This record gives sequence, C-alpha cells and structure tokens, in this order.
Amino acid sequence: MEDKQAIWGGLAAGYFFCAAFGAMVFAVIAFLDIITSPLAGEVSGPGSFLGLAAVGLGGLLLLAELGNKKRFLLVFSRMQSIMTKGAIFLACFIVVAAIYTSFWFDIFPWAGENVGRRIIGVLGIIFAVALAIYPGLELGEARGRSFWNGSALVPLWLAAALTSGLAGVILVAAVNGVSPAPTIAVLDKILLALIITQIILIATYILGMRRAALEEARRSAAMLLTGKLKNIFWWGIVVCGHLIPCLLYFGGSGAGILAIKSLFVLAGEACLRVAFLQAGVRVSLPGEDNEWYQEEEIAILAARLEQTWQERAAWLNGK
Amino acid sequence: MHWGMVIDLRRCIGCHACTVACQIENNLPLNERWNKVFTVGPEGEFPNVTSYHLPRPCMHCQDAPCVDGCPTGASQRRPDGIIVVDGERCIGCKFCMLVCPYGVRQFEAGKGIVQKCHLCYERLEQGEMPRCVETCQLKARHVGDLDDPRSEVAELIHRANARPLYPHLGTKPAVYYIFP
Repeated sequence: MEDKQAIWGGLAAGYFFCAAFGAMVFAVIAFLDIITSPLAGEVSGPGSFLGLAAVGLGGLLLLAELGNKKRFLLVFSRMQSIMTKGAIFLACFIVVAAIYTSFWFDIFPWAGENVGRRIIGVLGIIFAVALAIYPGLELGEARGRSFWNGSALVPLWLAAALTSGLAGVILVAAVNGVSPAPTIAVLDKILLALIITQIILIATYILGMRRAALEEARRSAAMLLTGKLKNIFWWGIVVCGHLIPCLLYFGGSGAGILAIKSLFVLAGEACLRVAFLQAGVRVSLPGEDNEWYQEEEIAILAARLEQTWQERAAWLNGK
Repeated sequence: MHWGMVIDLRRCIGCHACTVACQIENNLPLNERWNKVFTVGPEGEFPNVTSYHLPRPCMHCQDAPCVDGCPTGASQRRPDGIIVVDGERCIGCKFCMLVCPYGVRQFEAGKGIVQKCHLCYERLEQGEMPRCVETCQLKARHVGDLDDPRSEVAELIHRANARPLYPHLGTKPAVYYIFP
C-alpha cells in the first residue's frame, strides 16, 4: 500500500506550478493588452517575460524528471497521449510567448507594433489555458488513483492557475511601483473572489473524496486532513495560501501589502500542487501490505551482499 | 490469438520461486522484481479464517492505460495481446507507472527507462512456457490463448470462475485468478 504517491515527486509538482503560474501571468498580461488597459504598457514587458521564464523553468524541471533526457524529443511522437498534447502546448506556448514578449522590448525592430502583438497575444492565451487545463486531465488518466478525478481537478487547478497568475501580475506591478493604478485595484478584487472560489472548490473536492466509495480516495483525503500531508495542507494551502491573503485585505492596498499578499498566494498555490500530487495514492492490491520484503529492505540486503562479495574477493586476491 | 494467464491461488504456497525465476530469466538486480508475491491474511474469524498468496505479474490489459498514456509509443500492445516496453523508445517519464493501477512497472535507474513483465514472449514464440509458469512446482500458473474456448486457460476461467483483479477499473486484464 502506498503511503503517498512517490512516482512523480517535487520536479513534477514544480513543473505543474511553474507552467500554470507562468501561463496565467502571461494570459492576464495579454488580456490587459487586448482590452487596451492603460496599465498594459507598464507591467506587460516584465510580466510577460516573467511568465515566459516561469514556463521555461517548468519545462526544464520536466526535462530533469525524465530518466532518459537525450531522447526527450520522442515525447512529441504520439499524439493520442495526453502527455504529448501537453508537451506540444508547452512548446507552442514558449514560442508564442517569446514572440509576444519581444514586442515589448525596444531592441527588436517590431517593438510597438500593436495589432500583430495582440493577435499573438490571443494565440498565447489559448495555449496558456490549454497548459493550465491539461495536467488535471493527465492525472485523471490514472484509473487506480481515484483521488485524481479529472473532471473535478480541471476546474480546481484552472482556478488555482488563474489565482497564481493574478498574484504574479500584482506582484510585478507592486515591484515596478505601479500598484496604485485602478486596474490593479480591480485585479486585487478579482484575486479575492478567486481565493474564495478556490476555498469552496478545495473544500468540495476534499469532502467529496472523503465520502467517496473508493477506499484509496478516502485514504488520500484522510492523508491531507489528518495524515502525512496535514502540515502542507493546513499550514501551506489553508493558512498560507488562503487565510493570510484574506486577512491582508484588511491591511490596505499599499505596494508592500500587495507584494506580501501575492507571495503568500503563490506559496499556497505551490503547496496545493505538491500536496495534491502526493496525495494521489494507488488502489492497494490484496496483501500488498504484507509484502515479503519491502523495497528498502531488499536494497539494504543487496548492498550488504555486494559488500560481502567485495570483502571475499579482496580476501581471495590476498589484499 | 490473445495470450492470457490463470493463476490458481488455491495452489500457490508463496514460495517466491516465480519471482526469483523471473529475476534470473531477465537478469534483474536483487531489488527489482517484475513478479511479486503478496500474502493475503490471515483474515476472517475462527473457524472461518483464510490466508493465501497472490502473485502479481503484469496484467497485460486489453485496455491498457500504460499504452494509451505513453507519449513515445514505447509501451505497445502486440497483436497477441502482450504489452511490451521498447527500451529504445522509453524516455523514463514514468507516466505509465503512474497510470498502472496494479503497480507492476519498475523504473530502472541505471538505464533511465521503465521495464516490466513481458510474459516471456520470446519463449512463447519458441513454443516454450514463460519462466514463471515453467518454474512453478505447484502448477499454480497456466498460460494459453484466451480467444480459444478449448484452451486450458479458457476452460479454467469458465470452470473455476476465475476473475481478474479490480475489473471495475475497466482495463480488461488478461491475468485471471482462481480465488480460494
């Protein structure tokens, strides 16, 4: 019986977070640009670059997760697979976001070309949404891990991605000194609405799983609420990611408060990815708990055997 | 032709000979086992107490999530129903390990690829039995054509009411168990 999902670890969780965060930062920036928000010019350059860099970092984390990195191009070879689709979304997003970002830097001759940039922005938003949605569908493919319910995970992770994207844009605005702009005040209110929506979605998800008929779903929910992942759930997701940002709304809307609030939201979103990824335990097979030797015990035995062989070999060779 | 296996849990004594034979046949390190044997129980209340051993090879599912999910096509379903991994195409993304509900796949850190039981298809092609079937002294394992109603496995499934593990998952496993 798995005590937590350990096949995809921190690198995969890091990828999911970075890709969702970066994609949605980009999507918010491009949206503000398309609706010709007056704020667009001031945060768009650094914001879209942050989005691109975050997704790029996510791509590198994904690459690091692979056992055989030299063959990574093969990931594009089977379109029926959700992983291939995700890799295509990732690659297309990086290309489109790089082109879009270049429009904001004067070193490129096409900088300032509004129509072309906005068309690229629309394309980028499509890939950004696809990049935020597909991990939920990907995890939903694991039939033996019923905690990952694709149809429920997609809205939750999309809301989480949008929350982190908004927090990222607000953070960029606060750092660049444009936080007093009215658009940021609107974004800040939308962020609050999203945080509250997410609290409802998470509570519904966990309580639904707690009452689920399948044993492994109940085990996953218990793991989050009272088990191995309780600290990351209660302190990371609930307190850090939701309660503190909500309380900070009483502290005004200064640049410092906005930046701190955004950082707490981002920390909470990262914890959400890690906790939900680890909580997806597999259905346990009959007798799996009574395995003759656990993997760790066998590894210790193998190491001891190897050491004994080395000692015997050294003795036989008279060393 | 659809290769399948029937494991008679009434006969299995949990000697782990199949596990070791598989390791030798496939030259696996000590801590890598494609064919684990679990011990179930003792469960129930006296005098209705039961305990049995459950060998767990790859289930060679007809609707295999590992094959559907593989982004490179390294995990393939052969025309005879056996699920194999092409080590030359595997990138070690471990998605197949994640989606396999039976946990049969193992990551080989040295090669950076995922491997698993392949029902000794090379031996089957030469008319021999898989090594685990050949090794089992209690004749608990049977392999044959599930599509042929006169085959030993098809008859055992019919006669002894053999059933796969977790059929509700919809993977249509080709390994059936006769439970005690």
